[in-house]
Amino acid sequence: MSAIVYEKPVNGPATHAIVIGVGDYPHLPGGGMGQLKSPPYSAHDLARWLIEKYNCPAKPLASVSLLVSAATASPFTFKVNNIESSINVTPAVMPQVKLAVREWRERGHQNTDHVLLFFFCGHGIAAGTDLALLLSDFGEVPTAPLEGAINFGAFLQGMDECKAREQCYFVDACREGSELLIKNYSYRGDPIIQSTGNIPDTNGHSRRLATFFSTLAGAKAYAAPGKPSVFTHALIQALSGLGSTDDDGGPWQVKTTRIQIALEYLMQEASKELKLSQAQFSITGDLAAITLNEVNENEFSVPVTVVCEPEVAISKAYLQCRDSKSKVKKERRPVRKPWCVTLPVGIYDVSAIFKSKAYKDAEIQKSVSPPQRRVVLKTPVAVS
Amino acid sequence: MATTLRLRIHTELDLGEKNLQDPPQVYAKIYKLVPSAGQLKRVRPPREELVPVSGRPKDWTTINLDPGHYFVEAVLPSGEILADDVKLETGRESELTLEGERSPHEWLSWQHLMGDAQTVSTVDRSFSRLRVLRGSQSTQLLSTPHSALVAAAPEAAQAWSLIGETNEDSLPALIGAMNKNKNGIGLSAYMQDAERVVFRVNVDGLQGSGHHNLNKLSTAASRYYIVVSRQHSVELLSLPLPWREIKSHRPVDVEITVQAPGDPREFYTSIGVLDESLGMLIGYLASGAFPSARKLCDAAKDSLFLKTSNPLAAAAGGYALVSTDTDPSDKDWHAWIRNLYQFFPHIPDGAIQWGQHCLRRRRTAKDVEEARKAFKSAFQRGLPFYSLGIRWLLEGLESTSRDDPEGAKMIEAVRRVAWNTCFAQAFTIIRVGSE
Repeated sequence: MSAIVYEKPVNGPATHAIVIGVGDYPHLPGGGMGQLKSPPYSAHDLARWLIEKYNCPAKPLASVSLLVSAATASPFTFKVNNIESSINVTPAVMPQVKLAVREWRERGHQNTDHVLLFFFCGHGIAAGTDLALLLSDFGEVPTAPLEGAINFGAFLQGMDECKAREQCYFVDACREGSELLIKNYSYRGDPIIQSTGNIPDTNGHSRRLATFFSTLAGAKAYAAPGKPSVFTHALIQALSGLGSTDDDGGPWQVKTTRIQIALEYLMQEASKELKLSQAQFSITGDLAAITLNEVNENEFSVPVTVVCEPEVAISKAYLQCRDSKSKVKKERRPVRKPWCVTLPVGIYDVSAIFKSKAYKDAEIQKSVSPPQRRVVLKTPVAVS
Repeated sequence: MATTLRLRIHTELDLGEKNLQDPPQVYAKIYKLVPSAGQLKRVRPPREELVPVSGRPKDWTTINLDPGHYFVEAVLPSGEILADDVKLETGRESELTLEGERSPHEWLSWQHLMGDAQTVSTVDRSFSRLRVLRGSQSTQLLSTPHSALVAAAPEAAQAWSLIGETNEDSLPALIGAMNKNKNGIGLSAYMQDAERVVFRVNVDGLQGSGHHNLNKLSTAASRYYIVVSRQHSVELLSLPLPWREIKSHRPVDVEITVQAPGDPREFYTSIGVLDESLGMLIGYLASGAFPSARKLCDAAKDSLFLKTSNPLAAAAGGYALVSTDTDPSDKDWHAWIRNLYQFFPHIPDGAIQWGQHCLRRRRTAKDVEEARKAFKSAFQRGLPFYSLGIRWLLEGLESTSRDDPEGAKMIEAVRRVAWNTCFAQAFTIIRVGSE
């Protein structure tokens, strides 16, 4: 059974993605790890987003492989040109993952200008730089549990021999410290792609590598039922536009450098909401600048936080956002907390009106662009 | 007709020196907004300017711009995004101050700017208050051994096994070995509150009032470490000393912050250099924002590499350059990395960077062989000053030396240290013993 759920012929440079989500771990050896609900949703949502939304004219999406293990398997559905497709998904066990990853690598190896996207959501165990991504058959052989794990570091090294020079990796897994890795010093899982010492013919171009990691400890436990994890949700927001820029003068383009800024912001916001401390992990391992998809500036919204100065004035303020045609886009009655809204990219007149006359009314023109905007309305105390 | 914008980023900074000539700077993007089809559109590409970051209202950068509406954005090493609009009128100077988030204390401001101060805001964010996470374990600075570990090459190589193989029972022996059986130096805090304590140390700099000049407190050593106790382990901090500011050559304090993290499995300590020229670059390196670090490095390249008055700072620049190099053409700075490797044997990071450079740009087997030699040489030189060096060394040895017995032993030794290294910090911090 092929893991490919989407394929489109592309002449020339293209984007090839592989998405792996593991929630079902039937052979967990006890300890702190348990079954996970969100990874199957995360994997489905990301794969669906790629197929339905990923738009990279320079390197169009040519294939998506999807492997998912869930306690209750459900078909993967997506819509292209208003036609809905439903596909049974390949389980995320080592034999299937191995096959799919190697095919994905071979597709990348056909052209140095290809972009490769790798996404994993599930359990991860770590010791220092060593990271093992656990597949559904982790622990199936009790005497060799790591046979069901990907040695992520060695896999990354092996992928340097793939000709595709632009490679992005997104790992949505807790990097829990693990004695298992330390005890099995010489074996940290299967690299799937090994370093052979071959030097790929890339005209001297180094690999552009971008790796992103989830940073919230235990964040998956906070995913709402039937929803993707906090990190995947943030990643999809970043890919949908919050990680984009128009600095090159053309359309808004999602770039790895902006994804990093957007994810830092979104994950910090999530950790505040969940009252979690940020784990001591960098969100990136390597961060080469890679341009991914284009987005339409009218099709995504930017989080905007409006506050007053002095802060307490907000509890008396009628707040309003009007667009360049003076049309009211959003408004709010007085509430004793900041006004969090989302607005499309653009310029807005933001105003605070006070009925109590305790403060002076204020209005300010502000531009809104990704990943976020904070607007401070200076509302001096009215002198009677 | 051009007008001027005076631009600054306001955040209180306690750099220990009251009369700094130049505050730290970061790049800001300045977009002009022009009317287009009834809307304002951004003119691209944006202009990029270095902007001072300080608490002093007199620190501005003055930029000549055409009148109009502008949008300005800067991203700090902590990941905080600062942005605002400003309207410039003909013949009138305008000012824009981007306000950074307040640090819980002025003396904690540098760590806050770098994103190292462990804080979490309350759910009600309306009043920008910060609630500090409380830890249950005490954090006490035990001793500051000056070490001969890397005084000479043969001893330097022993650092790997000495640290990698130490357990809770042998911690006193490790500290004794590092100090050559002399007593460590006790340090008094620069500042502290209930959750955190900050120490400031230097070589040939300020002494007293919470600053410690290690040259005055002990006999000179080639490398300095600090040991911070935990419940069943210690954190061993490799101090980037001596550190001199690259323009003035002024000795700069290294700041060590000890705080109980939200999760006890995490590290207690962080290191910053209070260097107005390069502190930001190091902050970006720690957060993985290599392209931002590269931009600051490009702006300081001549001072960093041509004068080499501070090879440890040059090594920071080396990481920014090598990590962002994808262009196959040859560059001037390639020779500078080789110089770091060849002329500064007491800094393992130069050899590691040269090895990575050769490996990333490999075209023939000779390049791989050159990388292999550099990585093995780096191992012999001892612990890298930067945590990224430990990662690159391990990856480099695995890529080039797995099949030779000597290389395999090196990989094993580096891996044991890497298991306990804090990769969220720019400088090397290792947990020794089990927690």
